[in-house]
Amino acid sequence: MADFLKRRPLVAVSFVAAVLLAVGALTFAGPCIHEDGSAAVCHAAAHAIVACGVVGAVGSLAALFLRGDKAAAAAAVVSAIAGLFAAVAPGTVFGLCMMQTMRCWTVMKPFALVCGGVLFVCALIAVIALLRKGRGRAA
Amino acid sequence: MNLKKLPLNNLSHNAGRTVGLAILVALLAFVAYGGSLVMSSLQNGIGSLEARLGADVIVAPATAKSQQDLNDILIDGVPGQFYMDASVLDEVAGIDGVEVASPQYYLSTMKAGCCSMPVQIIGFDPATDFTVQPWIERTYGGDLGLDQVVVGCNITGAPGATIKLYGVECGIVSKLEKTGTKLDNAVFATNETVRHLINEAVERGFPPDSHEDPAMRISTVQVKVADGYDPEVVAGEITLRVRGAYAVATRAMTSSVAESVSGIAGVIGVLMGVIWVLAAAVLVVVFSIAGKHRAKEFAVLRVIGASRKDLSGVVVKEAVLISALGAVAGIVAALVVVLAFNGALEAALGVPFLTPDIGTMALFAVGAFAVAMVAGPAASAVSARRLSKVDAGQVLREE
Repeated sequence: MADFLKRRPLVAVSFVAAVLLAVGALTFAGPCIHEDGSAAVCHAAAHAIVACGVVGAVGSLAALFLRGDKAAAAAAVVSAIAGLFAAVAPGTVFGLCMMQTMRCWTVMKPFALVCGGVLFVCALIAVIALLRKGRGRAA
Repeated sequence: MNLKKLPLNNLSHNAGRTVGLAILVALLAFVAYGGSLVMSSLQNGIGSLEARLGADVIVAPATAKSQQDLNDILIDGVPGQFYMDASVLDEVAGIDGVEVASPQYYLSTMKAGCCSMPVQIIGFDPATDFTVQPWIERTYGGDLGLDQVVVGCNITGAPGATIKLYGVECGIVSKLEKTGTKLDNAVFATNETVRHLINEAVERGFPPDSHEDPAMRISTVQVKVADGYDPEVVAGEITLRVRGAYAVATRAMTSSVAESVSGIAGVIGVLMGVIWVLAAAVLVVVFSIAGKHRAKEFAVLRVIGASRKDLSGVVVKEAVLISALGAVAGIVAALVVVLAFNGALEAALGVPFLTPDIGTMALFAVGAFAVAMVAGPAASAVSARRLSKVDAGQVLREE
């Protein structure tokens, strides 16, 4: 495990970002909960962020443990796409609430942007590094 | 002897130490830049609030509840409504020192639907208004027609879209620039539009909570004081002479907010200082410990011909590289946090919050970078001095 962390540190960071994304959207950075149990428009965006976090975490975990560099790069691509989607989807693909002072605008959206962005950037750099390493070995 | 590439090679071969030290410098830069941005945003927010209120004096009904509601609406952003007789406008206009007096009408929508919030609607008289229209003119050149509204920047909906108020689809003709105040959450319309909204709501069977005809009743009178007059004196005169009205100078309204901002800025300043002292102390200690562990490495360099100056140069160059890396990371992190979470910061602090313009942000970034670039090498200076004086023979014999 420690060996994998040393060999692929950025993949490990993207795994942490993905887990944080999923856990955050479900807890401290999630949308407000109505007392009557009804769901606001932004709850769909929250579900999407959680899904992206789970996909990103699975992808990163696979990229961390797969032995082949190309296979690990493919798994990291999945994480990168999940991160990008999490960063841009709230407010575009999925609507948020009416007032931009609400929790979904002030906490959930920026949280998804930051965590999704970190996941995307780390996974993307990891992909490039893994592909280069793969090419180097082939050569 | 060429030692140019040595600092970079040392850093890349000791990635753990490099990252650890860079994180400390990043913390320093983050605190310096983030703190500067937050304090500047608070100062901007106060300035913006005073500019946004526009009037020198605001006249409201003389009940305690109305005064509290006025504060809630303008300072705390809690939608509300209160009314007084429209004849107050003429009485206020007749007071000595009043240059312009313009009525406003406050109406709040009800909370409706799963994700709607009560919205403050502010109706104004286009013929006399001097507080809302200057802001509208910045983004919209035309006049507001019937069922046309201008929305604060926190209301979702771009120009050209519609917003449903009391069942009436109102066209959004413009979105105001961010001011960092609670008026970013308001909708602005002419009194004619407000009257239409009320009539439509009554016809549909769901009248506003305490609807009053804007032709007969008004919520506030916005007063521009003539040159040479003190707004607080004019406000006192209005309160004294106009029955049922209470006038307040906006300067007095914003002074309580300014006090809060001053308190928050003080706390942030102290926190910045404490974090700076702690991080700088840790940086000195870490550089010192790292230096002790590198005594043998420097002894070998000394034996193969490196001068004392070369050795201290290596340490300082490493510190400069680490500082540059950490400073950039800290500045970027602070920028991302403050820009992305400025809404959450505003809500948490409860005071107007307006991030500075790009030029000011860039200036602060340069300042934070410079401070971090001084802190890192300065912290390494003691270590550099000690390592340059290393007794190569003794160190190697001990090993």
